[in-house]
Amino acid sequence: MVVDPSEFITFNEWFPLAIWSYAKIVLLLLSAGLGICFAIAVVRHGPTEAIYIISRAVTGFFSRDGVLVSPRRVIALMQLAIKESLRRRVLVVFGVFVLVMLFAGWMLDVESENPARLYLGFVLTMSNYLVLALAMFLSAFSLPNDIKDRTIYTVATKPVRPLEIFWGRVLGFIVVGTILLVVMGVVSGIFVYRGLDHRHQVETTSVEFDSELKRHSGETGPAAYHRHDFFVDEETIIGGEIVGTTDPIVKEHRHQVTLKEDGSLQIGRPQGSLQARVPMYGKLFFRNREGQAEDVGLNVGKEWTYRSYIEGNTLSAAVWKFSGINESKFPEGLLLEMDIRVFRTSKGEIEAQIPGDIFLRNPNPKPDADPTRQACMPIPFQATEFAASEVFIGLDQLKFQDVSGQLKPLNLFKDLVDENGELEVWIRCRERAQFFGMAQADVYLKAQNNSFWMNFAKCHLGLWMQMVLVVLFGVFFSTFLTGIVALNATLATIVLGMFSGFLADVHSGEIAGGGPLESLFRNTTQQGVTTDLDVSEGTSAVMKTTDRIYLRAMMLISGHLPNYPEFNTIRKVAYGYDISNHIIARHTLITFGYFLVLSVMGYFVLRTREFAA
Amino acid sequence: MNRNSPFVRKVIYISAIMLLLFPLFVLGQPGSTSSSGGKLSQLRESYGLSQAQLGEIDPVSVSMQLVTFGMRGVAVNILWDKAARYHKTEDFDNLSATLNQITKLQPHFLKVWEFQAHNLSYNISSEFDDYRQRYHWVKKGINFLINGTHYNRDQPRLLQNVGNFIGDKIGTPDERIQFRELFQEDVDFHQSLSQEEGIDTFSRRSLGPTGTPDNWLVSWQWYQKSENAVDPLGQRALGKAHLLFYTLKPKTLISFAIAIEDEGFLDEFGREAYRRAAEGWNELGNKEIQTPVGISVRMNEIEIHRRAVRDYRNEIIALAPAIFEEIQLEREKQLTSAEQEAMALPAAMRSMDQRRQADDAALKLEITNEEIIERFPDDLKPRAMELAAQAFRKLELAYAAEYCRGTVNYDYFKMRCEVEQLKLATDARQAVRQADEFFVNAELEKARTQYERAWVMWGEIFERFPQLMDDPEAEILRQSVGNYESLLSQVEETISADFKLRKLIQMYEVDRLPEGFDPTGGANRQ
Repeated sequence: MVVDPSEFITFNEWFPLAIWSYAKIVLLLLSAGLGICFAIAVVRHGPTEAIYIISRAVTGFFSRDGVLVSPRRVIALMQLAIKESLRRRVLVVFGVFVLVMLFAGWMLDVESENPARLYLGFVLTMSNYLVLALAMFLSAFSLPNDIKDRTIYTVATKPVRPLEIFWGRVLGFIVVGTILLVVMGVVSGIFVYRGLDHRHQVETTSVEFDSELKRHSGETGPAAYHRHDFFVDEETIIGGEIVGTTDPIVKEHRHQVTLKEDGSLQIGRPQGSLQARVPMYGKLFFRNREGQAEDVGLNVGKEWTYRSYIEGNTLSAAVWKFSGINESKFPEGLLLEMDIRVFRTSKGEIEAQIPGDIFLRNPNPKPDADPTRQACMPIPFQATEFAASEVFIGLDQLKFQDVSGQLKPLNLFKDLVDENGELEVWIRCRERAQFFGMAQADVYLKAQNNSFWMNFAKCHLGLWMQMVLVVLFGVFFSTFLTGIVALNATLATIVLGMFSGFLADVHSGEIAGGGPLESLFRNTTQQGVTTDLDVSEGTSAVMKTTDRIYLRAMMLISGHLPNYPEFNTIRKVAYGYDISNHIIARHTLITFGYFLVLSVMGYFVLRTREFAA
Repeated sequence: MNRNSPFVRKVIYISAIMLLLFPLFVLGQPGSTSSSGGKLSQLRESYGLSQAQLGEIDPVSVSMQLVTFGMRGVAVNILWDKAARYHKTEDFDNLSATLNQITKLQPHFLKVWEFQAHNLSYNISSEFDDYRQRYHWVKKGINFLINGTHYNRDQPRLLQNVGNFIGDKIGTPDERIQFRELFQEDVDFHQSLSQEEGIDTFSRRSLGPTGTPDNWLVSWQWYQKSENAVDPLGQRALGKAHLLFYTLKPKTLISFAIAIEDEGFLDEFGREAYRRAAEGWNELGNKEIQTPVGISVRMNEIEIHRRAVRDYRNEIIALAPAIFEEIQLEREKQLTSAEQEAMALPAAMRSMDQRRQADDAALKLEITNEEIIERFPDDLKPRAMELAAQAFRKLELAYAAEYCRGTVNYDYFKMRCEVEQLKLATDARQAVRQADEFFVNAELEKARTQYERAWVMWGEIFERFPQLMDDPEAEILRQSVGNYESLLSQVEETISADFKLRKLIQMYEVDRLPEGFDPTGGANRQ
């Protein structure tokens, strides 16, 4: 699975950097807000009065409105917002969701090799878009409609504080969105489970019995566009039953096969298609063919440079440095999961997979340590692509060769893990003129699997936080803009937040074709994106400069808006990886940060607003 | 403005709408059993563009086209962009799903099916290292294309592409042995082809020598389907020139025969395969082919046309033989003494210079029909000119047939099919194959016996069919002769002076052979 480098940063590493930039932005906003208000007040009332007004507003917030918020009034306003939402037929969104679910089978590739990825990707993306759309429409129109219909008088004439109005609206819409998201989550879960569930029958004519091995083997009948080979060893008894399995993994799952007392074979439900692996990532660096350290490996000519390659049968290696390795975490050995890509420069043995070696090494051996005990003997493996394959390295498997040529056991934790709990895993390709490709997330240590459904819930938490952010922006804009303008403004924050990466790529030239002006010109004059512009140098310079200024401004704005794709953990769930608590903590803190800032801004806007105007 | 003005305005609007609706109704009225409908319906019918005529009506596809509200082009653009991105980032599951969405929006755009099926079977499959995964993606491309044939019924080019993918993509790449085996074992695929596509995968005509469906024979059936779909009016494009379109079907039978002989069926199975291939090739020769210049011709009629040209010329000469002889004498007198000398010598005895002079002389002696007719008395000229025109037409046909034969290498494949049906040929190949295996396993005595047995048979074959010397297979045979030379050198002997394949040695020097030749001469051919 492709993992964004930012995900390798832990919460502890991220927090000091984030809090510092957050403080800077808050200070900037505060001073800009106060400065503008002061300037207006000076113009209206003169400098002395202006100082008084500003200080009264600030002290009013800190002494009264900001601290004396009544939960009772907030809840009452929240209920009002919920009632209003129901009046505005939010259930239509749920209807749309159910309708799409009913016809989803028409659009999904039922023969896909990875159906779980497709199903999960589809339902979660659908939920995400619908909830965001709902949040946007509800929040952007609420206050402007109340003001237009003059129903706001019933609230504004009561002794309520502006912050209570703001929070009441926000919480009301969040409650509505949350209920809808929970229901969508349950429906999605059922849809995915039912979509992936299938049963095979045994193809009785294919069953053979090996009396020497006491093994039944054969093939299942077709179901869900695939079959499996299976085997059952009569000596494998689990829970009083003779059980075997289908092998190899097909469409991301296996089935348990049970030999019944009457001699019949029964195929169980699919296992393994819904999982939440907990990876422990290491830091990747490379060794070139001379054995020297490099940040990146070779480029074999692929346009996409996410993965780097190492050359076979040379000193070239990919090295992962893992931290926090100790006996309590890995009492029986290390379980490595790998998705190593292969690039062949000659066809070689077509039916054979390319072999490689794994070495474990101590990154910082003690000065007096025996040099022969600093790395283990190679552990062979074969590269399997596009699927995580497991290599278990048992503690008793680790050997070293002493000076006399004898193979002797190594102790993983004493010999290979250094004092800081760090360990290096080296991977080499064995075959000459063939290459292995890898990225940092392609090899990791697997601790255990977490519950898939818990992971599914965590993913919904990410969707929920996106919804909260949209509601916050929607309600904030609705405090001073008319409905349709507030809607557009909220939509703009979503679009800019969603496409900040795209903007950066256009600005840096990674995406060819130029900014809006240049691309419009190219489109209308049918000029390719990679050709030089067919205009005079002056016109070209004007276009490019205008685009650059525009893109800079856009990037500046988008840099301060929530990065919505970051909250989107759908891919992780779809590919079967656990969403780490570091990521959730980071997202929660970001959401809370926006909540604070937008609440304060909303408060000041509402305080200065005259509803009867 | 008076109080009634909004009402009046509404009446005007409604009247305008009604007026505009009327021509729309007349133009767009749907057809029924009793009426041919409006103009649009009639045009749709005459060009065969209605959904029901094009292919299956898919409610999903129609719904998706409708919900895009005329923004179908934009949606398709975005999807193509997404597909390209997924391809680049190796996210092939999402790519496959995106392709399905594109085809739902553009089900009748043939190029989409062709392009993306090729993308799946050729480009994406090669991204995988495991040959089984590669086969899976090749099949995915084939299924994609088959799906396209549902939406676009009776489109020869799509149907032929399916045949081409099943034949060539499974039967010719480096991993063809593995792919062909996987295909033969792919019972579910055979069943789906049989039940859903009407391909007779389990009958004798699809079964190879192992008793399982063979990819080449299944592809032959798709080619047959594509030929059946050709409409006489030519409204459905073939996607390529007539000649090439019709050559693929018989060629696939030759490919089948080559494949099974490569796999070791150098027996009655192999000979039978070539018999069938010869029939198919002959059928192609008898088929009327439309050439790019608009002449229709049968390749097997080349001799008839050539003979007709000769007959017409003889008839022209017979009208006034004295005139022809007179011109002949004049031309002979124009020859230089050196040219006359060169012409007097037998061709085999001419030096390089004499050969050139003989060629020049032949050119000077050539007399066209027009030159003869020019000297005819006026009363003979009309008849002679008529005969010359007919001769010219036949000459054009002969040229066209020759062009077609040259393009598809007709004579070579005809001869190959003829030779390979002989027991002598399969025995000769078998002997070489066994000898190569013995040689590789260092069983030199056995290898020598088999080689020498093989050379006798090959000598006889080359004597009967000398053109085979130019065959690529002869180049491969040269490698085995190289093995034989190496074998002899190990017992300090050399090839005897009366070696029957000496000409082959002279034609193909071992060190001039292209790289990548199998040193076992095919024993371990992949």
